[in-house]
Amino acid sequence: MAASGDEATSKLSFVLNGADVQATVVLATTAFDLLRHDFGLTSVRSACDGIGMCGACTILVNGRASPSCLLLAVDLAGARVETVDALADGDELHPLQQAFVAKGALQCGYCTAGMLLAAKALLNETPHPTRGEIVRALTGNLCRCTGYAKIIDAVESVAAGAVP
Amino acid sequence: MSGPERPSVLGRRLPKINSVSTVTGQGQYTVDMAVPGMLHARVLRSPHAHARIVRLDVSRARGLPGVAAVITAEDVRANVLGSSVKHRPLLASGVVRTFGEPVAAVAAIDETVAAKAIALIEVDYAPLPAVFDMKAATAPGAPLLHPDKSRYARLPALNQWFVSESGNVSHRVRIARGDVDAALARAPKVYRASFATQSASQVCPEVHAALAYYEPSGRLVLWCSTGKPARVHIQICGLLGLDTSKLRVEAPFVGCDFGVKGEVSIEAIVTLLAQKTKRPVKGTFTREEEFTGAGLRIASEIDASLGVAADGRLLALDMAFRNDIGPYDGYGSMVTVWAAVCASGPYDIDHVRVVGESIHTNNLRGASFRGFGNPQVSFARESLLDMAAKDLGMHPIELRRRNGWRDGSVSATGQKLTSERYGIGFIDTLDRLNESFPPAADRCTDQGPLRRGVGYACGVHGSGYGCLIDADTSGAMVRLNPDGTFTLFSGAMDVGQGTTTSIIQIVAEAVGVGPPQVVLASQGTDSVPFDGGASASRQLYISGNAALRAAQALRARILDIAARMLDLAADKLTIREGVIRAVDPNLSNRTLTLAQLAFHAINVKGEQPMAFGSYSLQGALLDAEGKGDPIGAFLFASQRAEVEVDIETGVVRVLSLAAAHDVGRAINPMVIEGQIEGSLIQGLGYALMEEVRQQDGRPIGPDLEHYLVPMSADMPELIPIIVETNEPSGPFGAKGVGEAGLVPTAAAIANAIESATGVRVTRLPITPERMLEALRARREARQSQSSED
Repeated sequence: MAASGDEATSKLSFVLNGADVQATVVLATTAFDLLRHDFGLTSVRSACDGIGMCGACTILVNGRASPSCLLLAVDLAGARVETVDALADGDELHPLQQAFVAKGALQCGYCTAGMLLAAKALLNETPHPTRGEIVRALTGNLCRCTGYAKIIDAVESVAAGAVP
Repeated sequence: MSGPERPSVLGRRLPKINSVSTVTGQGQYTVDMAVPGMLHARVLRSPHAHARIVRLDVSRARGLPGVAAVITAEDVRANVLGSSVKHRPLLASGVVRTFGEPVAAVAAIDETVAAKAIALIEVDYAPLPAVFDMKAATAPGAPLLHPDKSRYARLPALNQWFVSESGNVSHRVRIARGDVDAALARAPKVYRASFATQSASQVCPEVHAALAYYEPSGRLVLWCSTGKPARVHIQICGLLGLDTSKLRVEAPFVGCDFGVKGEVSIEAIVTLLAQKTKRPVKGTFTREEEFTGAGLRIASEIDASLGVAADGRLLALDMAFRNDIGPYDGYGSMVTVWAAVCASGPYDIDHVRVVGESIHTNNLRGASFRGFGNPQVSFARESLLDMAAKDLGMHPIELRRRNGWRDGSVSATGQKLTSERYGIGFIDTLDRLNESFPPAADRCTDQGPLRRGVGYACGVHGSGYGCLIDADTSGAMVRLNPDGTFTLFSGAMDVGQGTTTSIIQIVAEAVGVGPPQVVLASQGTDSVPFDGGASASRQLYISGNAALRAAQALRARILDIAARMLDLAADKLTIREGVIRAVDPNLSNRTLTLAQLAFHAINVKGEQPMAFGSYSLQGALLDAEGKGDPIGAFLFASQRAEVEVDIETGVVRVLSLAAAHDVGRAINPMVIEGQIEGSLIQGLGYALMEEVRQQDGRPIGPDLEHYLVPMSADMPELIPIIVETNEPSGPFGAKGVGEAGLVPTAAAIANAIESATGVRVTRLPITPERMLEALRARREARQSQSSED
């Protein structure tokens, strides 16, 4: 939440989706609250009330996937932070986004942003993962609709370099 | 309808509409919404499972700076809700009957003040005797949850089953055919067992959420997370004494429904708070409130006996089941009726007796969850069939094939299955499963403590509410736009499943354009005809039929206009890829684009090219003897599970799940696969992991750390097998699929566990503890047997 009253606050700056940003936060503010509420990035969602069990609030911090509900806002200081909002290049969808669309890897869509970011983090580190590695990389992200199969297929197709 | 010269838009794996806004994060769910000046709602909930409210004082909460309104039962005009029986108060009136029951609600400037205000509400409760299991609830002298139950309004479909004598049984449903007692007495083989299933949470990723405000005209607007905006609309207006014209309910992105977002709570609370404060009010459930404030999958206890001939013919089924519906009969008794209808499965059985009871307890409220009571009874029935197959040395598929419904079969309710009226693809689902997995592949293997096995189970469900309501109806409109595109006005909701994409394909096919040329209009209750919404696998079948009828009527109208413009008879014209042309190739110069026609029709002729269509499934109510045609279109599923059980740890790993589903015509195979795969995983969770455990009516660990749902690492290989048939009354032969998906899954997994270990587990979920317990019990039974020998 935004700083107010006499609570101890901290100033931080970081790179959010490619832009330099600054924020003043009370120390207990989570990265989730800062991004979702102060920066209005509603693609950063929650299904577990902030206990790190659903992965819907996954963001990339210096390229690595993290549940933003378990990070403090101040942990973002100096970091390069990405949400799904900047995954596409203008109107050109990222290959993962294209694959999710083409392969039917989304249903209600609530978990999709977190899934895409967890998948991107995996491919950043391991460009050609095995199916088992994909499954493990996404197993912190709850999806109640798809049964995961089409999500894994989509990530696998991107890793294999297939044009969706 | 499709000509041979162009590829049909039916059967294509089109991405769901709105896929792009989903992957870019732009989709707005109710939880994402905010409007200026918005207040935040919180609900005070009961800490008791059963208590009288002796004193309720909200004055300190009202006096807290930043609090705009506090509401209690006194503020609710007609304070009763409930699909089966109207007796659930929005806010408790004098008595609470379950832990977490809403007692009061506040609207405040932010969530912190709202929480403080809740803490300032003073309530004195006098605890009442409570009942937490169905045996205690039906014992003589049990405390009554509703001493005066006959005074409540109830669903007409339930009247014949109302239990008028005093007690906690709300309804007793009875479906009977033949003489079960005599048939069981004569049967060469009788298999008997008792089963128990658990309550489970839908775990929609998006919690219940609602935002209400006044628009400048003075009408109320409600955005909320539901697949049934029209039903929510009617409930809230009834509750608050509002004319339906004074409220519109909008349809945002919805983060799942699974049956739980149809009976209102927070949606009505924020609407009432907006009325009180004249300001926008938003409320969202916490994850804990998803367990305590919504309705769970109903826990069932089932006793069943199956009489079988030596050649595998099913002779008689006797099943009695009790459903713990909790304190209020919302979807509860509807679930009981539906379970009774589906209990004897897709089999010819001459002698059937099914008795289902809805029983009130002070546990958390039971309600609707994908499958609607059917997975419970199917678990029992399919386990018994498996016992029979093993005992008779028949392959489980063969046993089911010998008894499965075919053209001319008659159900336990007397519904005659004829191929003129219904698609009857049950045997096809068995055959397709068999082709993919020849019986020789079903080897059970042992490797150290790991035991592998294969199990099968089947089920039948229906598209539409069928016997549960008088009329299950949807309307739709289709309009030709000046640019030659079409707009579809339909209240069919995509809560993830993808039906709207399939319905667009139906419309595109009918009017002769590509799917991108059909746009779905905004779906608020102001904008679309009534639609029963996302439930009961009804939308593709019922809303799809409505949209098809509208599209066909509009196509006829377009051809009529074109006939005059081209000076050719309408029946000599066709529409292909957006161009109207003569069927006769020699007249290929006589063409019109839809845009040209629309311009001419609107601007020259002053005609409005638009058409309406509707479809209703009705006349399905059962009579007093439980006879009738309760199912509008039959959904058949046959599934196979392959498991590995570690007999030292009790851990069950599902290696693969294959599911052959009769879907009628497959409009969008990718959407159908998504429905099958998603329900298989839910079925796996139901079979092995998911349970809302309660201690004296209080949930234990109502959060996603303790309530485990399947994650990707739990995922087995999923093999959806789409079995295409033709549903005569379906749009282009199609019918639903989603609701049927997990009906047989738990049974298939339990049967596979039996194959692997020889142990039949009759209680869900089959956690490692229960598995070990069952293995131990069998070991001890064997030891005592051998010591006696």
